[in-house]
Amino acid sequence: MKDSENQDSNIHAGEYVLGTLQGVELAEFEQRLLDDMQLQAEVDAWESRLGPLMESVEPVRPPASVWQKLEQRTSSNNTVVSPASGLWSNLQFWRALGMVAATVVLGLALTLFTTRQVDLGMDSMMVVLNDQSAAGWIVAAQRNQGYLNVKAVEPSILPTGKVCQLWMEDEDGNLFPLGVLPHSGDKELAMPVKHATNQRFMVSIEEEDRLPTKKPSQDIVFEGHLTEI
Amino acid sequence: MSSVDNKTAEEKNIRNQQLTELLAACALNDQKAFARLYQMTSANLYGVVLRILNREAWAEDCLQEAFVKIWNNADRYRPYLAAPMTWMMTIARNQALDQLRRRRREVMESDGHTFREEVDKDPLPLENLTQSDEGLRLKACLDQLKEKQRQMIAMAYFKGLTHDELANQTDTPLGTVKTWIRRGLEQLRRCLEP
Repeated sequence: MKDSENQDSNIHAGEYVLGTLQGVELAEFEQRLLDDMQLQAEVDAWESRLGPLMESVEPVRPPASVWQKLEQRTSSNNTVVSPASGLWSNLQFWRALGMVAATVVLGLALTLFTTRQVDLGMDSMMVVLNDQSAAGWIVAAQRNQGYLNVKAVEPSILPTGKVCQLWMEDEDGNLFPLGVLPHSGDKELAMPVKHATNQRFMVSIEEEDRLPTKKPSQDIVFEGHLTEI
Repeated sequence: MSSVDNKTAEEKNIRNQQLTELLAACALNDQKAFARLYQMTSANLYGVVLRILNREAWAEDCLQEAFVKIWNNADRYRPYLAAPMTWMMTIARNQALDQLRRRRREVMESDGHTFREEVDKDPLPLENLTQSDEGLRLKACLDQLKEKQRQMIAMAYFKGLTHDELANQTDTPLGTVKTWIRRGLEQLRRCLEP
């Protein structure tokens, strides 16, 4: 991108944060924001540059009624538990949901990815569900090959520093860490042994900088196996 | 004064650390952490939304919605992208601006009348921009802009006025408004570069 275009983008990001963009300009900018990480970074930078303006405003104590209403709305009895935390860590939920949802999602995922994966010689697939019980990742393998292809579809958004770690359990119950599921794009994960039909796969949520090597340190949030296509 | 003193900076760091930890706890559905977070930040956020909306009933609704968003999106907070207070204030400001624009549209569509702005006549309280190093730097850079430019940036920021609306409200040609804002932003960016 030319320097002048870069500068235009930057100023547009400033205008967007300021709130002055309108009509077609605003629509075009928001469209670009959807998949332009650089532009999003510029928006974030402008939020930080102008953010101190809000510090200049005198604090005002809100009436107690606001907190009372908030408490009702966010208490676990009255709200759908935020799936990013509650359900995601609830093994019962995943087990109960797994079979039904996996079947539905697998159909869609297969339609989307089979052609390309078959072209690549892949003959087995698995859908890893995300915290919204939608297709989070597609894992594809080729019999007798020592690696998996993992594609991020709609990965779960995790708290900072947390990642999804993929595990494989062989027929003798030996566990192997395969690596971290990607946040975006494709990733190849090496298998310690060649893919075979009786292997099971699991996902646990781990600390990014303290990945366990022997066994998951947290509950398993997903279990599944590769299905032949 | 070129920077806030060390004690204030240290207090701010501790507070930021606390807020970051509270947000992380909220991401795990910790309601006590949410209550503490509200206690520590609601007056700042309410001040901002009240300034934007200028009506208490609207500002109370808005504050409630902003905190529900904060609760639901706490797991998306990334400390390396923004200070916790900036992140929360940005959510509150965007919530207030969305509400203000919606109300303006409703009034315009229902009777064709112009939305009655209850514009805060106070100038931008730049003198309060001294609570943090970032605030001091921004104040110094805003001080270098022309008065009109500075006021337009403040009006846009706190009232969500588009280029067209700024032109109408300040009786300035649209082209001039656009140029002032763009030049103002360019100047600010250059001035704030590390």
